[in-house]
Parts: sequence; structure tokens; C-alpha cells
Amino acid sequence: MPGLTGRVAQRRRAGVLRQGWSHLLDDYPTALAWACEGRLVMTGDSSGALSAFDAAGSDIVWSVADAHEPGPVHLAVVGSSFVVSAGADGVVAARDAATGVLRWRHELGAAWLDTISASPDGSRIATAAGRYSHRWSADGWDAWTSFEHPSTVAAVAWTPAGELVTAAFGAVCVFGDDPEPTTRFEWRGSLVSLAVSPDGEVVACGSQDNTVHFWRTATGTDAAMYGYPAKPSALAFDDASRLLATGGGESVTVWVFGDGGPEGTTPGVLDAHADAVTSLAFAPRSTTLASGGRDGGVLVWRLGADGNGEAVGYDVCDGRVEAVAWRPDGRALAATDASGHLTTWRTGG
Amino acid sequence: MSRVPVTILTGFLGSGKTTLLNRILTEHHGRRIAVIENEFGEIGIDQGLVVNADEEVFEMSNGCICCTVRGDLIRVLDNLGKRRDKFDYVLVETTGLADPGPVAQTFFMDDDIAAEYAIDGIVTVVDAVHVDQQLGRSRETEEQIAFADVVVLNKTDLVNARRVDELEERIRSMNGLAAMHRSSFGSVAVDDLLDQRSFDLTVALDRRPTFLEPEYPFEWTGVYRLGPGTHTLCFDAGPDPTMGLAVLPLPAPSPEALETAAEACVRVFAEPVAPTDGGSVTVGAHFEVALDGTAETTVPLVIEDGSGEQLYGLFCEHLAEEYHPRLTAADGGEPLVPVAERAWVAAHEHDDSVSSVGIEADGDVDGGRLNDWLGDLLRDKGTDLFRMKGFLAVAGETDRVVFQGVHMLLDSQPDRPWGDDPRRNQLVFIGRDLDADELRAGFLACLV
Repeated sequence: MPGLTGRVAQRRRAGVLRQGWSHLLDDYPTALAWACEGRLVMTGDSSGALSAFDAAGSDIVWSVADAHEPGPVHLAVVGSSFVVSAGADGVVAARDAATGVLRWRHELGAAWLDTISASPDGSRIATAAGRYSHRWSADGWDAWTSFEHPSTVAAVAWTPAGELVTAAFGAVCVFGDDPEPTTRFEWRGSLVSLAVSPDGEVVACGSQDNTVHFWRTATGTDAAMYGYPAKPSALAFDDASRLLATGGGESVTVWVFGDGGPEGTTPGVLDAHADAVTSLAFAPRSTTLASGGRDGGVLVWRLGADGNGEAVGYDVCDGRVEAVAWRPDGRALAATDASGHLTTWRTGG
Repeated sequence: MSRVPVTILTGFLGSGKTTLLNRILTEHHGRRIAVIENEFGEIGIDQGLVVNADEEVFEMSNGCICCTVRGDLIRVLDNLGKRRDKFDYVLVETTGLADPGPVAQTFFMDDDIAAEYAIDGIVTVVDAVHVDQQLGRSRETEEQIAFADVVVLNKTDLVNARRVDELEERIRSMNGLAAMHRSSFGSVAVDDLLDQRSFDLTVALDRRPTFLEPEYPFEWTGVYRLGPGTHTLCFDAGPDPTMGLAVLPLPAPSPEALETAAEACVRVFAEPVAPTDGGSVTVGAHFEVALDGTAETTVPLVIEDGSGEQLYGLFCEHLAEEYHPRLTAADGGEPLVPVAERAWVAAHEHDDSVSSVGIEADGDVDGGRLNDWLGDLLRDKGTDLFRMKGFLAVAGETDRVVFQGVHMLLDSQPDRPWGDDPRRNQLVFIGRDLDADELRAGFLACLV
């Protein structure tokens, strides 16, 4: 049942969130991204379809029903011009973001592709299939395959320097051009989520053992944050690399990096969701945070320097929130839910 | 929202797991089943949504065995949940070498999985031909039996009935909680495997109001076809001074009929010993025959006139192997060959390190003391405790308390009110190297 705890329910229902349009997808939404400088919202769903919606209305600009065979589809937007999708059929395909026209396509075989990520400068794309990670240049060439990880790769990400980072059971690996990792950050636990700070100084992972573990890339020193009631599968850094928002229960826990922290400090705690937090995203160049939960709640928080903050807007979706994503200008938010809705809001100003 | 039930199918390669899986998939049961496979079976899977997953055991940094989960299952189940073409049942087929603990724990330890899926039961397929060798060699086989809610004793057509009895007793001594089904070529009703709700104790107790198998006061039964008349029963010399006996009519020589008759016979054995009428034994009463320590003992068995030829079960206190009971018909001739026979205890001592310990006590337990005792027990022995179930009468509580656990994960909740029923407690532990006396003493010390 969607529902929020009293603290927020007393506030004005919408706050800074002004609902725009909503569209019911044909299947379970598994990917959400803004493209073309915020003119399009794109989704991938479990039927294997990709769809692009006009951000100004709910019109479908283009849709490819059989982009992938049925199964979860993942998306990464590369620069402003194209989008790369990965599916359970082991296919990676790049399309023109404005038209959906296929640019290139690779078949990796039977393994499910569970994750995809584009490097910050838009020059490279990485996916993970089973124990391997694969990497391409933006034009689909220079295929590269990692060494065989000891366990299935759960997540991939990039440092600002263009190094690929993978998380799996037991370790985070950082790669240069060699298939063997240049650096390994080891932790005997199953790493389920991964975030690299935009300045590249911190790699953070949520672990199946209900901790958040992070490493400082320069020195390899690490720390574990205990006390989560559930596994932190949602992580987000703000653009300034100062705040790390983490799920792992009903609360959003915000760690503050800098001034010697977060080691030994008390994190900010944002309470309002009535069930586990499923997705987190900071608005670009801002300390405004969006959170989605299993309770169907979508909240917008304005955070202070200490990581604490207040909810300034909320709305309720129809079922578990799958993803939240800010438009690149930070003035609109999109979310997908377990009932198959894609919903957009205008925010602020 | 109702959670999708999941049955875990374990068993050694070659036990007939895949044959059984195919039977489940091809039978018309109206379910849409997704299958998660961890190994390529002896034969292919015929139909259904089949996903292959590499077994990945995720141990945790704290080293806690009850936190160990199966990462491959989390990933596959998470992805399966995001499909519109919904299935309504999941079967997880594990490898023959899989440890069932992490598989089961995945459904309790991972919140996302626990929100969408509910473990229905663990079904273990045992190969009647090879299980003896496997039990000696592999901890995995022992643990798969120890974790089971349902044991399918397969390939029983390839070994003799006596052997099957022994195997069944051996398995029962390891796991006293599991329902046992004999089969050949996986011939078990789907209803006996799926939708068991084995982890829902209220349901489990409604279906079977006791966890503990009765302890039979007899060790052997022979089934004979007998007409009216005075037959002759003969026992070899042996170490026991007396032999308890009862003869009961039997509708068929089947294992089911034998078990039903055994239940009835438990009550007959509970009655006072009947005086032997002129030294002879009759149908339907509890007798005790004085045995000669050095020579054969012979006693007449009288079947009343008026009954035609029919089947009777001869229930003996001591094993046939020790006393070689021989029944000679009234009209003489060679001793009769039993139509069927059944041993009710392990035919010989097993050195299995896995065993079940059942504890039963009337009255109330002190909640605080029980918590302390269970807490210590789980901390010290949790790794070796595979499954536990029980119900308790806690002092001051009007409701019966039911609990069940896997390793250190213990779940207890109030069940129905006791009402006028006598307040009592029943606990069963399945584990490795359990000290039954210590467990009993520990629990009894919690009684008020």
C-alpha cells in the first residue's frame, strides 16, 4: 500500500512537485533516462521495448517494440545524441536518440546484460554479462573484455578519468586498458550497488550484508558504514562529491564527505518513506535530492551542509517506485513504478 | 499482495530429480511454473520458462553462516519478477552438491526477495539404490536430507521392499520432520510436492497436528494370508525374556495399510497384556510370550471360525533378524512366507552424524528462560542446526506459540488459542552431532 509517514503527510501533497503527464507502458519499466538535452524521456521495459516520449507532452516520439527479446532492458544515454540499450538477450545496441535509428549492435551471447553505463565524457560504454564486463568506444568499435571476475558483476561505473569500475562479490575492480584490473578494493561481501563520486576520489558500494562500504581511490583506505536495516541498493553522490545519499531501509541516510568525514560523523537521516527506499538521484549541480520507495512515494528533499534536510515535495505513484531521474536542467523529474507508469513532474521555479 | 511460492528441488545427480521435474511440468495442474536450473540434468527439461543460473554462494564479511545467501537466485528472481507474462510458481533445481541452507536463507535474508517470494518447501529426491554409499561419503547428501520438508525415495522398484524400509527408517532418523514418499520414475503426486506451505507452521500443524512420529513399541511386522484354525508360531532363542505380540487384520499388504494398522497397533500395545487363553494367541489383543533363553518357543495362534482367508499383520516387539518368527499354517507344511514385511526401527545402528531430536513435554515453559536457552543454543550450535520446528505453551500466553528455524534464523509467532486443549510443548531439532540428552535437559529446565 502506498503511504507515507505522518511527518510528510501533513505537508502540502505536491509541494514543489507539480505533476505533468503520465503514460502507462506496455510492460514493467526497467530503465529510465532523459535524452536530447531534456527534450525526450526514454524508457526500457520487460517486453524488450524501447520508447522515447516528448518531454513536453506524453506523445511517443519513437518506439522499438522488439529492441530486445523479452526481459529487463537497461539504458545509458551517451552525450546528447544517442542512447545505448542492453537486454537479457545479450544484445547491446546504440540508437540515435532523436529518431531511434540503429547505429550499431553487438551480440554477446546467452548471458543477461544486467547493467550498462556511459563514461562521463561520452566516449565509452560498458556493460556486464555474468562474470565479464565489456567495453566499447562510442562508435561501437574497440571492443574490450575484462578478465573473468570471481563472481557475477553486479554494477559498472566510470571514474572521471575514464577508468571502468566494476562491483562484484568480494571486490571492486578498476580497469585501465588491460583486461586485468589495475586496482582491486576487496571486501568479503556481496556488493550490490556502486557509485563513483564525480571527482573520482571515492568509490562507494552497498553490500548484501546491509552495510555501505567505501574506498578513497587515492590511498585505498576504506570504511564501512553499519546499521542499515536492509541492503543499500540505491546510492547517489551530489555533483560536488560532498554528499552521498544511501537507501537500505525506510530512511535515506546521507553521509558528508569533507572536513575529515564521514568517518566518525553522524549522517543526515531523512525519514518519510513507509517502506524501503528503492531509488535516489541528486538534481544536477544541486543538493536537491529525489527519492523513490517501495511504498510508491516520490519525495524531493532540500539538503543542508550536514546532510540533513526537509521534504519540500512529494507525490504517490501506483506501486513500488522503480527509478527516479532528473531532467539535465534540474527543473523536471521523471519516475517509473511497478504498475508500469511513467510519470513526470515540473519542479521549483 | 500474495507472494509467489517457491519449491526447492534438491538431490544428487542421477537421483531422478530431472525426471520428477519433468513430471511436475507436464502434468495438468493449472500453474505457470518458472524453473531456475543450476545444472544440466540427465535429460532436458521439456517445457516451461527455464532460466539457467550459475551457483554463487555469497558469504558475508561477518562470517555468519545464516547470512550466507545465493546471489544467483537473488538476481534471477529479481529479474523474473519484472515480467508481465506472470508465472505463479517457481521451482529451483539445485546441483547435487548444493548446500540447501543458503538457498533457503535467501528467501528470509533478502528483503526484496522476501517481499515477492515465499519459500513453500524443500523437496529432496533420494536414490534408493545409491543413497547408502552417498550418505557415507558426502555431507551434501546428509544436509539435503536434513533440510527437506518432503523426501522422495525414488527408484524403489530397483531394490527390495525390506531394503526400502531400512532406508526409510534411516532417513527418518536423520529427519523426523519430512513427509516421505516412495516412488519409481518420479511417480509422486504433484499435490504432495507443491503448495505444501511447509514454512507456514499454522498450515503445517493443521495438516499434521504432531511433528513427532510415534515411537512404535514393536520392531517388526510380517503380513500373512491366513484362514481359520490353529496355526503355529515359533521363535528362536534370544536375549529378551518376553516377546510382545499382536495380530491385526489388514486390508492390503501396502505400505499405507501397514502404517494405518501400525497406528492402531500402537493403541493395542498400550493395553494391558491379555492372558493367553489356554496358551494361545488371538486376533486384536496385546500378548506377551515368555521366551526360552536357550531353545525355540512355540505358541499357537488361533483364528476364529467364520472369517474366510484374509491378510493379518503379525506385530512383534523384537526384530525378525534376532528371533526368526516362523508361522506354520494349521494344515501343516513349510513355514509361510510373509506377503510383506516391515521393520519399524533401523535394522542396525547408523553412524549418521545428522539426526533428529524430538522433545515433548506437558505444561508451560517460562518465556524468559526459554529465550535464554534458545539464544545460547543458536549461538553455540546454530551452524550445526539445520531445521527446527515446534509449538510451545508459554506461561501467561493464551495462544499457542509456533516457531520454526533455518540455522540461526528463528521465526516464532502466536498461533491459535489453546482453549480447552491440554497445554503442551513439542520441539524437533534436525542437526549434526546433536546431543539429544543435553537438548532435552536444556528444554526441560525451561518448564515452569
